[in-house]
Amino acid sequence: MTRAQLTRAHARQVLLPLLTAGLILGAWEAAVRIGEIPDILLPAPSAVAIRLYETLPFLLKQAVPTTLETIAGFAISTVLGIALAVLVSASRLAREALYPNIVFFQLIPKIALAPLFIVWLGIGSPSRVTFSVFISFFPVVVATLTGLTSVDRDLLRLCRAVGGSGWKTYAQVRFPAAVPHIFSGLKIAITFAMIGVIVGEFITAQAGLGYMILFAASQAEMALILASIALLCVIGLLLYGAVVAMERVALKRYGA
Amino acid sequence: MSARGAAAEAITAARVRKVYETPSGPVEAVAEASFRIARGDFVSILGPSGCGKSTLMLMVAGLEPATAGSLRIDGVEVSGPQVDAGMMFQDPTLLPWRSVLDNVLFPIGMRRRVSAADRERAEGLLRMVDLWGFRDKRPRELSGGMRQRVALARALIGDPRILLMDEPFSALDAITRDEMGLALARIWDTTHKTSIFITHSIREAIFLSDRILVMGRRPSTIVEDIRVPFERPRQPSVEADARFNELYLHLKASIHRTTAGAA
Ligand SMILES: Nc1ncnc2c1ncn2[C@@H]1O[C@H](COP(=O)(O)OP(=O)(O)OP(=O)(O)O)[C@@H](O)[C@H]1O
Ligand SMILES: [Mg+2]
Repeated sequence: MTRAQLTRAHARQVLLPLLTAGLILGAWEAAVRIGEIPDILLPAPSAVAIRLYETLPFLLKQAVPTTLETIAGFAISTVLGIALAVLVSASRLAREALYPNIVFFQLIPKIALAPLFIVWLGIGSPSRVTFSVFISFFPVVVATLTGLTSVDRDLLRLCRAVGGSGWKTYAQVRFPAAVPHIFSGLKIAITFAMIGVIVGEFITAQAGLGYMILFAASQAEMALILASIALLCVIGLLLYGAVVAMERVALKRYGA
Repeated sequence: MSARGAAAEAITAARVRKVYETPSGPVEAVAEASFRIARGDFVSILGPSGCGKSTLMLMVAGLEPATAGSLRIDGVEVSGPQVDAGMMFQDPTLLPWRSVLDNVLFPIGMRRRVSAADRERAEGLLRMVDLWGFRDKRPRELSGGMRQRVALARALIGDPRILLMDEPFSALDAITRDEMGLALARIWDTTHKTSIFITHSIREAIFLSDRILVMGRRPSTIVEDIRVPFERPRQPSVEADARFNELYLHLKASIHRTTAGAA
């Protein structure tokens, strides 16, 4: 492909989805105006945008705890998930004793358990972060485990043949081989971590964008709900983008 | 060739047997294999698929324990991984995130700190396998044959006493394969490593070997042990030798008999 063709292909990739989104928003705006739908049911995108603009300083303040708690939950999930995967893949005893339980744990409808965390940990940050970890660590475990066990059998034989210790095999072969897999788990974990924090905010009702949504709903402030959600989407996108950026760096080093 | 006394024996297998215990019952991979390999000999193993060649090699490498029998390297019973064995497999099994040079140094790094002397040795080996210009490249930038040459250099980095190769050229195209055979022969000419080379190619086995063992299927034992008469260094022209073809036909018939004899 020529340079011009490449640019065109690239522009297409960006412009086409934007165009689709624009069309949907336009249709929404038109439907609300033509159908004279009351704001209390569904405000027009323009009304939401105005509301977002008006309340932005306030909403941003609410976004701070939501963002920080999401990052905290994600960070703990990353460490915990990788550690569990290493443990489970390295020790047969740990695998047999732990793994079935971890999987079973996943079958619990976790949202239903959220109120328990309030009983145990109160209505502060620890409760929300713990719940966030609770729902986001599993994808990290599964992805890391897949990576750690993806190493070619002959390569593992070679590691033993050259007299490498199990630890060395992890540090120099298994773990680097798992890096691309780990990131696919982390991309899921970051979105789950945010869901965990929002659910936590719904229940603990203290602060944060989740709480704002709940509050706005109680006041029948539809535009404020949608403005909060819009801000949440932006934050989610930024966090996801940050993980993707780290993945890029890691893959340059450890990718095939 | 040197005189072969007991002292010159590098590998001795006496009635070696291997049965894998699997969830669906025991699998007899090697029924009973006995052979002796003299120091500095290049020995190929031919045999039908599934007759236990890889298993035999893993036992020599100390990576799979023998179920019965005795296996000695330089007179010492094999009881664990043989650090003194260089290994090659069908796939190059390189680390994709490391450069060619660092891949060659991999076995050293697994044991201890890589020294300047190791680095120098690795560089020498890369020159020997004709990859000096590629030392900083990643494996993905190399062709299949080049990757196997990296694997060969890696197998030689610890100056092993024996070289164990399990169908190292099987995944290569015919032309590259011939080139690799010739390269291996040249390297053997300078290193004289005691080698076990598993292959499905009779021509490759004749061209490279001092001796050829034929393994039969079920019960898998060594059914034939043939000395290859050609002098060294081998030239590709040996294939034109009438004895080459004779040997080829003989081995072909021998392998055919073992497969036809199977149930
Ligand atoms: N780890 C294992 N566990 C159970 N059975 C095995 C194992 N490895 C090999 N076998 C079985 O042992 C037999 C011999 O296998 P092996 O790989 O040694 O044969 P091979 O001669 O190398 O075959 P090929 O020419 O196809 O590479 C086969 O029946 C195989 O299924
Ligand atoms: Mg095999």
